[in-house]
Amino acid sequence: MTNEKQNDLLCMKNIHKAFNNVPVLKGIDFEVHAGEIVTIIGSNGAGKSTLMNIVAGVHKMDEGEIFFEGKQVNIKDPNVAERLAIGMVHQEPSLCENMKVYENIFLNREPKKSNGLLDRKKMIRESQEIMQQLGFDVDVTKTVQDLSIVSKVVVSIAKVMIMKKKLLILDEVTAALNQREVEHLFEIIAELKKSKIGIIFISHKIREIVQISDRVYVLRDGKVAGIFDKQQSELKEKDIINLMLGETQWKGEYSERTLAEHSENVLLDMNHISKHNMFSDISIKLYENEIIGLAGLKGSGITELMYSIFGIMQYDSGTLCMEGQPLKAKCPEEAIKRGICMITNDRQNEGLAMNRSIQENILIASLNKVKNSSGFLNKRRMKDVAKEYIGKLSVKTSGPMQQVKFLSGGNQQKVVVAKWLFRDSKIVLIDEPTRGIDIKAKNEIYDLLLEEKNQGKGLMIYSPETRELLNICSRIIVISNGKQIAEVKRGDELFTEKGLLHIMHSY
Amino acid sequence: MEKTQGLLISAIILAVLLLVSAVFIPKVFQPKNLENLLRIYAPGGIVAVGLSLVILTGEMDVSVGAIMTLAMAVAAKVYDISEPGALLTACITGIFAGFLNGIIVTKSKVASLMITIGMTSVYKGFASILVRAQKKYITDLYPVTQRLGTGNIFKIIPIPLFFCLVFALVFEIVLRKTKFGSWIYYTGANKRAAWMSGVNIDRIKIVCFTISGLLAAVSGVLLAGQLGSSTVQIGDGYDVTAISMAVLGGISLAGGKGTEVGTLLGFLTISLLQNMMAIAGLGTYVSTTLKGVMIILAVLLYGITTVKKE
Repeated sequence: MTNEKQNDLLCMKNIHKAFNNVPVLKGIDFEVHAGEIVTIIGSNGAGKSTLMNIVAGVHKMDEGEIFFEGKQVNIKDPNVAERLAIGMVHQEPSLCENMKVYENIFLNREPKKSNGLLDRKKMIRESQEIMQQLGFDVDVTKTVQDLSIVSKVVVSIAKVMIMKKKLLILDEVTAALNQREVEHLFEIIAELKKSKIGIIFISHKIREIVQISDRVYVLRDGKVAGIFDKQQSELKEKDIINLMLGETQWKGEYSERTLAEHSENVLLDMNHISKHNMFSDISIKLYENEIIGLAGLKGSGITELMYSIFGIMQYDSGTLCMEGQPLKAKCPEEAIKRGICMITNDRQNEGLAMNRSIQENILIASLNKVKNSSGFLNKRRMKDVAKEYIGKLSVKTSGPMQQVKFLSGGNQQKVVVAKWLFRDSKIVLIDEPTRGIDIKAKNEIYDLLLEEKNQGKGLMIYSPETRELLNICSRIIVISNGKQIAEVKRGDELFTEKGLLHIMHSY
Repeated sequence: MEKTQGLLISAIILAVLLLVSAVFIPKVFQPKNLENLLRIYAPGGIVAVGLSLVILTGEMDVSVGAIMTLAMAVAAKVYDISEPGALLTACITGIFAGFLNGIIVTKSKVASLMITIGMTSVYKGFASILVRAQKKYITDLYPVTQRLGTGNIFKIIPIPLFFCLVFALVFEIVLRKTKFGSWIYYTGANKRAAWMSGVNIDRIKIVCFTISGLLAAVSGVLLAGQLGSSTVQIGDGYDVTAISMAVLGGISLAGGKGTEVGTLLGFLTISLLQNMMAIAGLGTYVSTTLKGVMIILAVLLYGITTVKKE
């Protein structure tokens, strides 16, 4: 091993990983030095989280080598990562909400008095010291659930600091923070850097990345697309975006596709609808035979907007009309009866009953369609319908009675789609239609959605992958922090990934 | 496939038990004993059939025994006026108590186990107030009640058993063949997904609690008819008995899994077990202990088989 290599805090070589035979990481080399801030950027599915989960011991790599402080290590579970002094702060801080701040900081390493009882005074005192060190004013005797999100992130960092970590992974911790809070967090990170801690920073916000990073790794499709080093040249937003997209590969596909014009009939008319703390002043008209794309970063309020239309939650103010009639659904049942359906991004909890069969999951929303005149369910018809949709969506399964938990993610998603296709709603709301599924299944699902549109339906789709929206939508509305900030139509100059990224990242 | 697998386990347990009794306590198979045992334990079976519906939706109702007591206490007030009126009153009381359970559980969002533990006390207390804690009420002067408890249909089928079979059959058909049945299973399997698919999960739970209350009341009437009297303790222990029958029959406490046919097998198993104990002269204390052991064993057994599959 060379001298240089021994300076590396973390060195990963030729890392491979696949889920359900879909390769996610295809030979990644990655290194972090002590006292260095390294950023990883890449669109969803590029492999960022997978790579970090391998470092943190959550996932096991299929192939490759990891060196930590010059020694080869096998991080087979999170305990090993813990012993190596690798700490990870997640996007949604994983704290015990009902416990006090200092209890969380000292969780599992509580100092004890000589009589064996907890030394609360010491815990409180040391917690306060750390908070001071971080320059953050958090009352350590407060319960975590009463804290703001920034404070929670800070507590997570404090928790990691008390363990004297050598490597710190910050996974999209700034997603929920405002500008001032981010600045403050960056000061803390700069301090950490001085104490020779290696930091891996994951973020979607390119402006932040340029500001803070020493080096930037751009991942694309499970490979390192390129590395930018501050010491060699200035970091430029444009270069990073270009590399992220791999322009040459995708140029043309979406601009060439022509979509039939939408009809003049307004299906859904949102008029200045708002919900406190979620979204405000949204006015969108959805026409028959149209697919609208919604673009935005995580936490932009798009999910909540869809929830409010579908009746999972209710909007506070403004009006919403469906085909001219006002609509404020109290529950999904009401929205479904009016002809709205929603495919949420959480198929495990909201889309499917994992222990029930494919057939039951497809039919659950439309049992009236398979009843006999006598009121009993027609078993044969049920099976036929299930088989029809299994064929139509090419779901890979042993048959309609197979439990959905035995299907792969993509096939599970197809079952959710099948449920609503069979229900035949006028309006289809989709929150991340292709979450966690491979390219082939993605394309199949998008073809089905286009087919739906051509039958005179209105679709509203959110996807974190703007590329997919560009592919099938006639216009895209960008939402940031709950506000509608731009609308881009097919044919506009900005109707490109780069254009949308610029809009999204500049707010 | 899973349906039959659950049934298979229940059937095996029953078969083993039958074998044991055939070898060691052949007296069990005397026709008179069989008729007797099925009659005596059928009220428990009826409660189990109703309770199974509640458990399938992912909820629990431990107040079924108390509902039996309450239904008979309320009916006692009407018996002297009109016997059919009293029977009707018992049923209405059961329906009302079950409905109340369902409403409170769905509106409060508190775990149904806790709610129904509370309601057990409420119903039993109320029953005692009504009959002023009389030791015994409803004497053997009422022919219809007595006939229901002790009579036979087609000369050989005890009426309580007949009720038990009919209820099990009806609800098995409901579960298999109707929209409502599909909703029950789906709600139990994933209530949020059911809700987001447009299923009115609250209504389904309320209906199931109500049916369970009604069946508890019916079984109260049959039991009182059998005993020739009723006391404020008449329903005691029937909650545990019913739960053990359902669980032994393969009804998953997590909801969404099991059948009424299974519950029927569970009913036969528990009845047989208690009868064997009685004939062997082990007394009710031993059989109570064994019933508890059976519940735990059954839950473990189902747990092991499902974990293995995954």
